Amino acid sequence: MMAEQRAVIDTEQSSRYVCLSLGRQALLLPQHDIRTLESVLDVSIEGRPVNGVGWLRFEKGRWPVYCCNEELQPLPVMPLQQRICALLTCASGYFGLLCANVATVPGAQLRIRPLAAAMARPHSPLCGLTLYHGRVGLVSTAAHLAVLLQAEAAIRQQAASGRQADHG
Amino acid sequence: MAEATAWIVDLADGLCAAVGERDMIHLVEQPLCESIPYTPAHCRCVLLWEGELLPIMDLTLWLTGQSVEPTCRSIGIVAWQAQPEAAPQYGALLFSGLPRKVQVKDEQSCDLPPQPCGWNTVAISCFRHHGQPVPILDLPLIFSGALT
Repeated sequence: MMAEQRAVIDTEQSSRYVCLSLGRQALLLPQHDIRTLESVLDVSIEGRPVNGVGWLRFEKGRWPVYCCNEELQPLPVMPLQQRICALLTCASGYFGLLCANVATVPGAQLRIRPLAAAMARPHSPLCGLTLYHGRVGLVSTAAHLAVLLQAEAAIRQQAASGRQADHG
Repeated sequence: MAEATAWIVDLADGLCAAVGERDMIHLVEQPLCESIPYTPAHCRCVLLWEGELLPIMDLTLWLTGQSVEPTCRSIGIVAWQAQPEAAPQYGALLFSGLPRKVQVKDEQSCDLPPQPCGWNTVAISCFRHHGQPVPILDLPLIFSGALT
């Protein structure tokens, strides 16, 4: 096996993962990236953020919410199947990602392989691949997804408009 | 006069390539592949093999922009060593139909075909077989990420 492929990400340090189901795709994130789970019914669709589907109020803030298809491409509308909003932690606050199902997975059950060198792309949100219930699971982090979805920019913009409203 | 054994694999439309006899260790016909997002078009899928997830290299797509016909796809599991004592490394090479084993002599050596121009990148040398040039693939380079 390629040296890069053989190297297995140490799952002991981040001992639990959370699997978010996006259609048939399993997206695995470190559990500490998840702040809370909310219902899609609490998502406001007024003034959608770029790439996003709406906003979620949480801890005195208003955070952008996104949903993705199986290719991890942002969708402009909420699929009926994705009824859970996982609120993820990022540098500027939080952002939501809709999914159909959420399951916690002990890190010891996962053998995470780094993406093969031939498959790597500069701005890929993927940190690795793993087998999960007999299928390939995508391993990422909230930070990587935030970059992909441009969530930080939406949060900063929202914060700025909030400050403007306060001063107005 | 040196002689070696190689596998010739068909890529597409008369395009073929070769790997060393010991470089191809397993053949998978009608493989089940899983697509991975945010990967290059020529290496978009992985194959589950012996508990490992191998990148599947569609060299035909990289060379010509056209992929192998889906109905006749095969995958060769290829192995190489970066250094003589290093652990073997594995990848999956997509091609059409079944590979053919041939004997190659030094005197069959020839220039790389001028087209597609990508041969200069992915082949280490070339030999002539039945009048057709057959580039020999540089597997470590192909799977190194140099093609992305």
